Amino acid sequence: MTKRLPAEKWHISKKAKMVPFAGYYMPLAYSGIIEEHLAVRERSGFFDISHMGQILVKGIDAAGWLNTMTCNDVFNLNPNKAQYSMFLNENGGVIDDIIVYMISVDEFLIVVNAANLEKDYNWLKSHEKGIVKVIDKSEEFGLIAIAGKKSRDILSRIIPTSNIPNSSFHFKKGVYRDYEIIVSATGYTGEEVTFEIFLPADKTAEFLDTLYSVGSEFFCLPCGIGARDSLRIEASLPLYGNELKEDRTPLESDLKWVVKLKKPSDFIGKNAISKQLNEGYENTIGYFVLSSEGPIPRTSHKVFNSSGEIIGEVTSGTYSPLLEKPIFMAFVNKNYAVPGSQVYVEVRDKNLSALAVEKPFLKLWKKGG
Amino acid sequence: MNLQKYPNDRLYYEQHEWVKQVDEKTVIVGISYHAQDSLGDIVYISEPEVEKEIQKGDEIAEIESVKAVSQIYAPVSGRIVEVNKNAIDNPEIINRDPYEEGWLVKIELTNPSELEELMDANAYRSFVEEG
Repeated sequence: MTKRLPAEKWHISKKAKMVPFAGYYMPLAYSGIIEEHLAVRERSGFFDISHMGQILVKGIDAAGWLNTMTCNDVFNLNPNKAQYSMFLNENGGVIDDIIVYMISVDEFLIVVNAANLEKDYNWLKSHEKGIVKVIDKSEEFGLIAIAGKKSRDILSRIIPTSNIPNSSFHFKKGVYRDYEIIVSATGYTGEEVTFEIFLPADKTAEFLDTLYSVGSEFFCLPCGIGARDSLRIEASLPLYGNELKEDRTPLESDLKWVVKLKKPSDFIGKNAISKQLNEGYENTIGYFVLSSEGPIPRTSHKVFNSSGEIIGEVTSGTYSPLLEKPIFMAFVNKNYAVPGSQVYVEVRDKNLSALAVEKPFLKLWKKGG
Repeated sequence: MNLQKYPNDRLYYEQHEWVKQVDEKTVIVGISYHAQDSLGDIVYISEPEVEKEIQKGDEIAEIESVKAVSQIYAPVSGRIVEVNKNAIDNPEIINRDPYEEGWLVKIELTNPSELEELMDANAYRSFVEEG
């Protein structure tokens, strides 16, 4: 059954095109994907991402236990700090990519992908050990993201600046009107100024409405999952199910930095990753720009080398409003992911030439030329 | 800007193309307001081949937006005599002005009586809005 966002009516009142996504009806776009995308790059845009899952882990053993369940190092966290991390399986494959928020020494909030919530929850539950409680809080939370240069100015008009974090991957708890909020400096667009606001699910619509009216002075637009996808691809950020999979390790997904092999505690997947690091691996995610304008390479389109041999396939593709041409990520033989490599991608009946570039794509765009 | 959704100076095909007669044997063809609206931001159109003979219902071009790819079908049979290069090079024109600046091909009809099989603006409006 398709779930409903708490603020579904608000989106419909703003003329959003609603589409099924990750088990929810989500706004695809309001004014148009490109216009919304550029609003974020040039000014600011906000998103209702209340579909995301929240799992609370608490108890005196929470930190130690979580460090065995995730590949980044929980002990690098302090209260009010957040960390990008992953749940891995024994083979080193990715169960989910997550953000871990350290609320206090014995309390952590984990944001997980909507489509993986049940899987993650069951997996954590089945591994519970020591004095630890795992609680699914997803129904209680609404989550709103705002990103782009003007976002701090806009938020400051709504909530006290003392409640807005100043550095990336930090968050602050506060009170807005009569309810608790968490403002976190995290996001999924590649923008430096970026916040995510956790709030009670039933307050999502009124907060969106406030952002809408305050934001309008800054030409800040409501944005749908269409722009969310094109923005994250332009920022070379992975999406679970596309770049990240249970049968693909973080090394193969070009996210080696997330795996802290040297952390003191063992964690699930560690042996497999160490082994892969020693023995090497064949394929990785690469970042490609189409050599000329053309159709968009999309998920599962085949990638070839100049001899016509298949070297991999597209994991995500979109039209880049900044570069004004198609860009894509592909899981390919490592040698072809090296920036400067030329590959060919088959889009229906056409063979298109593409160039491997450094991530993120948006660095290729120089303002003012 | 032309915001008219169903201008009545032309005919419509069930695949959401419009057909406007320019003389007895020649028409111009484009996609309807509804077609561009459901596609969203159009970023690519494959270039139809000039001089190509086409049958009604043939695929004449591929059209792609940020979110999806779709086909443009020939609403009539004939020969493609001209392609709107400006629209091919700047596909966003089709979102902005699907009925005038955003026309796609000019077709010389082989069977002008096929025009009688197309919908007028009213019929097309009910076709779209009442599904």
